[in-house]
Amino acid sequence: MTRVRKLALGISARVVRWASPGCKEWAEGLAREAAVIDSDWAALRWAIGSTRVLLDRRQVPLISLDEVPDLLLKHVDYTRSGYGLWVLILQGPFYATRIFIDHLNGLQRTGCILVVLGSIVAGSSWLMGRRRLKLRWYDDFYDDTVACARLYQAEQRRIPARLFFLLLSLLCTAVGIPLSYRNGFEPSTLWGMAGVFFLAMQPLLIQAQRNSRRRIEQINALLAERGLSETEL
Amino acid sequence: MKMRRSPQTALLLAEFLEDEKLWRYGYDLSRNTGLKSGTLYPILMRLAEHHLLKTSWETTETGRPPRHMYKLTEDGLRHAREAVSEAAAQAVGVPAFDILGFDGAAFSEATL
Repeated sequence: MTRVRKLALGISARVVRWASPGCKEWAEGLAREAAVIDSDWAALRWAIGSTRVLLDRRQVPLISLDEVPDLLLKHVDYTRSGYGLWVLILQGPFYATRIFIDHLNGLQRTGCILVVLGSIVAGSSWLMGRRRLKLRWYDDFYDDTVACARLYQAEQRRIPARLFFLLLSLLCTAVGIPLSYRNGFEPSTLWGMAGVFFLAMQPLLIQAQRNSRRRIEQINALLAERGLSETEL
Repeated sequence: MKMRRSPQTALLLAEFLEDEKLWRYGYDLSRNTGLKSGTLYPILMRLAEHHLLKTSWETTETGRPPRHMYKLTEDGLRHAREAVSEAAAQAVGVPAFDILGFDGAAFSEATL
């Protein structure tokens, strides 16, 4: 086997390994094709092109509505645990105290206020999620597959908004902390970095939106199979 | 949700229409359409997502690893015919008036 062929097969194998769960089958298909292409260079070109699959982050498609209760339960547990948001939330009181106790200049005070804001955004997002799903912690709701599917769809619709608030909170914290200490950063540099961070997060938001839309559509299709009405997107 | 009809998608759908009943391999599709793997697979994935394409793994008895195969569903064939005829109409360059059902001759007579 030539080096070029080895490289092509190596790339294909990595694409299969790193592909998202929903794209594994496709990555596998691409890899199998790379193995049967006669020309080594064509196989390499094919393998390089196949890396495009890595950009598509998809969940495994739903096959049956019976899978939904488990997914919903996971989502409920995840929401209840706060998924690490408490780190952002707990910073709030600390920086709020600093505003009143420390002798801060205007810029440092702005930094503290931003961290507190980030904490409030994260806290509100978490509490609202908890409140919405409060009745679903331990009841027998999960026996009703269709009701679970509807609730899961509603939650999927909220995912992009929740992610947006999480990013906003992260952004406030990431800008606020350096500002509050003013470690040699120029404010303009910080704002620039914040802008870049926010722009860099856009693909993540778009991906989340796509994935939740796919889930809603999959559930709609499964509901339609059972003769139940679909939920509007 | 409506599927986006790009020229590349139309090209691929036209290729599927060449032999509607045949299961096709990814590399063959790529060679015949000139689409690179990075362009071809996202289109195939999108078609499958819209239930326009079905996929299958080749069954082999020779010990060779199976290949992934693709074929349009009934809905896919319908969609493909529409998309291909639409693309052909655009390529011919049908005048905008005709597309809108506007009677060009009557218009010229009335204005002259």
